Amino acid sequence: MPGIRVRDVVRDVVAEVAEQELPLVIGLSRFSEAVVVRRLARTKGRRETLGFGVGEVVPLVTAAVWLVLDQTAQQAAGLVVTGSLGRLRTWWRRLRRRPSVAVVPPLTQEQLREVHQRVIDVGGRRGLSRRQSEVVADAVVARLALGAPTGGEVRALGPDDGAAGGRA
Amino acid sequence: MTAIAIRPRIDERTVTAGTTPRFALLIVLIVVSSVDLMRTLNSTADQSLAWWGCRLAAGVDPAQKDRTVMLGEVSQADAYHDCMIRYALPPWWQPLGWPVLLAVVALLVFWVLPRWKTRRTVPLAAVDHDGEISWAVAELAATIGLRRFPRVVVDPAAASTGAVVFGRDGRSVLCLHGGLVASRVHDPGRFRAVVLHELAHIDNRDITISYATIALWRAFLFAMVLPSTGMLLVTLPNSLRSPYWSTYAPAATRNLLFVVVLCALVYLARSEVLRTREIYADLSAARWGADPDGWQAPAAPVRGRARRALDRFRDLWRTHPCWEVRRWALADPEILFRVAAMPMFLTGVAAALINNRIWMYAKQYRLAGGWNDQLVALTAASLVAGVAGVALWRAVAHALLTGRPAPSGVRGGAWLGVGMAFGHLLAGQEVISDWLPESPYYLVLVVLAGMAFAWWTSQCAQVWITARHGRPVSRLLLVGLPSAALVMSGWFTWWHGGGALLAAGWPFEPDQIRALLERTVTGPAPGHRNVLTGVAAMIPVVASMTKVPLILVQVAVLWLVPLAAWAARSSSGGVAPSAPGLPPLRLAVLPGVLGGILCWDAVVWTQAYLHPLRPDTEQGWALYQILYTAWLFVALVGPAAPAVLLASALNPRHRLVSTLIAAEVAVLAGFAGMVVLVSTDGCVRPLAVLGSSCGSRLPAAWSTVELLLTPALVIAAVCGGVAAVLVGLLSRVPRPRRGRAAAPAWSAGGTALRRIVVGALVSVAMLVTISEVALRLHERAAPESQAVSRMLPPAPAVAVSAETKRVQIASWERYGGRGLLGRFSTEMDKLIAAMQVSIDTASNGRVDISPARAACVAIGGFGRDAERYFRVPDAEGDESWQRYIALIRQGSRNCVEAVDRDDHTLFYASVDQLEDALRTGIVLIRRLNTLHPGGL
Repeated sequence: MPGIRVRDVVRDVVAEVAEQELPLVIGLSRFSEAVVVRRLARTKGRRETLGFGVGEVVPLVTAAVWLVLDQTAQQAAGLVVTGSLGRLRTWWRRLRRRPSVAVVPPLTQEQLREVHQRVIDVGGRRGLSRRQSEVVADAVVARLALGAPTGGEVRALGPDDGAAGGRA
Repeated sequence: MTAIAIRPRIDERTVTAGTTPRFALLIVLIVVSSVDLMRTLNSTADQSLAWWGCRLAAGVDPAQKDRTVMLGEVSQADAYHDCMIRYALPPWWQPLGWPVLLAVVALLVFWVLPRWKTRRTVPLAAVDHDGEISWAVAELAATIGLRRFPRVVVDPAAASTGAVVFGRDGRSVLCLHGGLVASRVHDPGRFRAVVLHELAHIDNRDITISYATIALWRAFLFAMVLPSTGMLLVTLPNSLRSPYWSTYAPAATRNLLFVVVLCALVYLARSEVLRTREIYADLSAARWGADPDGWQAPAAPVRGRARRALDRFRDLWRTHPCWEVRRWALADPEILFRVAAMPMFLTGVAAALINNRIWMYAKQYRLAGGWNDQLVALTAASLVAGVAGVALWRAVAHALLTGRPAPSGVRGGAWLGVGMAFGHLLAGQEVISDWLPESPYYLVLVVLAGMAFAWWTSQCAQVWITARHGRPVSRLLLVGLPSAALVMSGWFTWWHGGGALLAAGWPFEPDQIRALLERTVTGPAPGHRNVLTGVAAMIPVVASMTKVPLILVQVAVLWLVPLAAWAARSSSGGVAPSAPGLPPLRLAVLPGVLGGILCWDAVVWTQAYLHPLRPDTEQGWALYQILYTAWLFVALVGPAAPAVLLASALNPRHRLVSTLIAAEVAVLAGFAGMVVLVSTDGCVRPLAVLGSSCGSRLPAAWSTVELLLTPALVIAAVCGGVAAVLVGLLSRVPRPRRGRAAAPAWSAGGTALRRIVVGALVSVAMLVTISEVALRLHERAAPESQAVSRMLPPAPAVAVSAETKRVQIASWERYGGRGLLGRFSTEMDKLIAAMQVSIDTASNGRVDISPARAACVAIGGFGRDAERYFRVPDAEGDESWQRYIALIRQGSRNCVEAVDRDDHTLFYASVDQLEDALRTGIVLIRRLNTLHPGGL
């Protein structure tokens, strides 16, 4: 399928605007898209025995970008999880352990503008400042506009090659 | 904050944290509860029915109050227990399988937990390519000298700036949250604080015990609580349809409530102890150089009073203290040394439940009583000492080492006592089918016991820490905690052995006991009715003391442990510059000696009073001896009262231990004089009581006074406690005596004298205690309760409804009666068959009766079994049953004797008796059939 993988866009954007989060992107790349999205969607810290306690939650660029791009990829693939049937399908995919790596297809200008706005919205909801959100949104759109390198799909991070990544 | 900064503080590690015993308490509570909880799953329907069936067979009317039900059980205790073991209970080893299963499931959960938690993490090395984070963590681990470096992983999706450790102590895993990794560069202080906090958990060895408790709790919840509660709820509709529902509604409700409270208790206690461990980890991290700013958290919104109360309630269930408390504790760890109400209450509930559950198991299988009770109590008491005792010692140590007033511990003790009382109510030891015990106000004694224990423990801590200042408090705990455990075990044993009966309703009235005394020992004694009533009232009290095998050891510990502090005292002043030292020992010992001298006077007065009353008749001597013993007891205990009041007034800061020392010294000194005076009875004419001439009467005198020693020592100790309370209340605010507080160092001569006095007192007390305990070890076993209860006049018959009577008869038949009646017929058939052979083979007209012997012995055995079984729960039927048993026993005895003597006349007479028994049996069966048609 032509397009660019979500995790590749996230890695490139994070490397550009939030380098300190790169280890997280590398770590997340070891998991399937569904797991990553479900876990990033949490906005509250958890109380854990012998943990440090529920404290500050850091606004992560990774989370904002990944969630927006995943939704975009799902929309593009017509797989937006709405209603119980969609959730059932997601569960079925997880049960069958099918590799799921979301891919963002080439987007139109209108769609890119929509992604830009969505990044700003989600970033704001997750604690990023307006300025930070805009910088991130610009970076996302720029990366998407570049599209996949010649040869079709980008060879970069995948579920099985998290260790292969590194600082850009 | 300035105020916090100038407050003196001590290293929180000065005294053991005491969290391991708190975990142990939880683990024991869960394990013990599993046995009881699974009873519903363990029992067949028939076994469940037999719980009440055996009572009904004993003639108990479920509609009656508990006291009547209990009398029914006690008066036929042997038959009742036989019935329970045979019909209602699974084999003794079967319930013990549940804790094994629980342990297996818990181990499995413990093994799975770290694997489950790591499933969404990645190794740090896989994401930290430049190695900066690994290096930072390694550097911190090296700073604190951590022996085993943990495996470090990252949870990349966790946005919080936290971390967590799990696994087990030897193989721990440190999981860094993604937010912490991401913010490390911008906020290194936070990173350092969090990692040091987690490394502190590893260093403090918190991981295995915390996760073991969690694993056990989850295993208990899913493998035990849910199935048993489900079963309880499934059987509930059936139970509701029973005509006796009102009888077991309280017990069923208590069972459900027990599950709910148990879950809440375990959860609360676990959270509470984890919060303590968190503060310890915070303090360790701060000591290793963590920046206090690392404990900053988002400011809590301003809330109303109701919302704040709700927040505080929520905080009780959380595993971490709120950020405000944590920051406060970093400034002053005093919070760690408080005797908080919640843990004391929970400890009380848990200890009462543990003690009750193990004791109930032992009782059901007839293992309870005496040394076994003591052992069970010691288990629960050790846990109380380990938790509450450590908390009290820590509070006192902290106060003394920081120059603050030492806490009395009474408030914490009250919470402990309230917890124990609540635990008793929940366990339902004092009730059978009622909602509340007959005399619930006696549970106040339990609360008072908690207060007394805490007060005594605190005072012991105070005298020992003051005496041995500069020495590690943890070492002093090696004396303090076992002593506290022994003392508490005495209380638990006494409560189970006799005290609980006060709340449940004492089965025998003092008037009944006095009547028994008059009937069997003294004869009518109209002139001394009051004394005999007093003696009758004391008999249950003394009898309850005999249920505590180590009672004298416990009393000895009460006063010898604090007394020994004076001998161990260092020669310089107090523990802190402003803290006063121990008061002179003579302020406690001399009032005791004075009490002893008063006792000698009182013995002389007793002898002078009784001399003119010497009886003329043989029967009168029995009463006279009882009067003599009673007055000697008063003479021994009475003088302790002024001694303890004086000691209490002279020692305002160590009131309780001083009065205990004075009371016991008074009794021991008085007892020594009493032995001399009683053994020389007869030497002084106007004082002669039992002796008529002068001579050594030591053995006789000893047998008279020896009985008095144990109750006197115990009651004197109780008097000591009461006096300490009274004088304390009268003086309200104790004023430390500055002159004594700043007393100069003791001279070597003073120290030597003090040690000689203490040594002598300890030796005498040990000698008395060991000899008394050794005597009790060789005592004959007490008669069975069934035999004792048969000595007392029978309880008045209570009219029961025809339906209840029918069920009682049906139960009597079902749980043994039917079998016994049938067995006699079988035994008789064997006798007849044996004799038939003899008759057929008789030569010269002489029948050989010897083959009948085996059948007659078997019939005798049957007679004993029948006698041990329940009386028939019907007056007319029981008359036949008793006649039936008497005839069988007499017939079988005569039969065996006849065979042995080859006495044919006696043999035929015995056969007539057995035949008569058969006829009586038929009469009984007819009567039973009338009451319960179709039963037999």
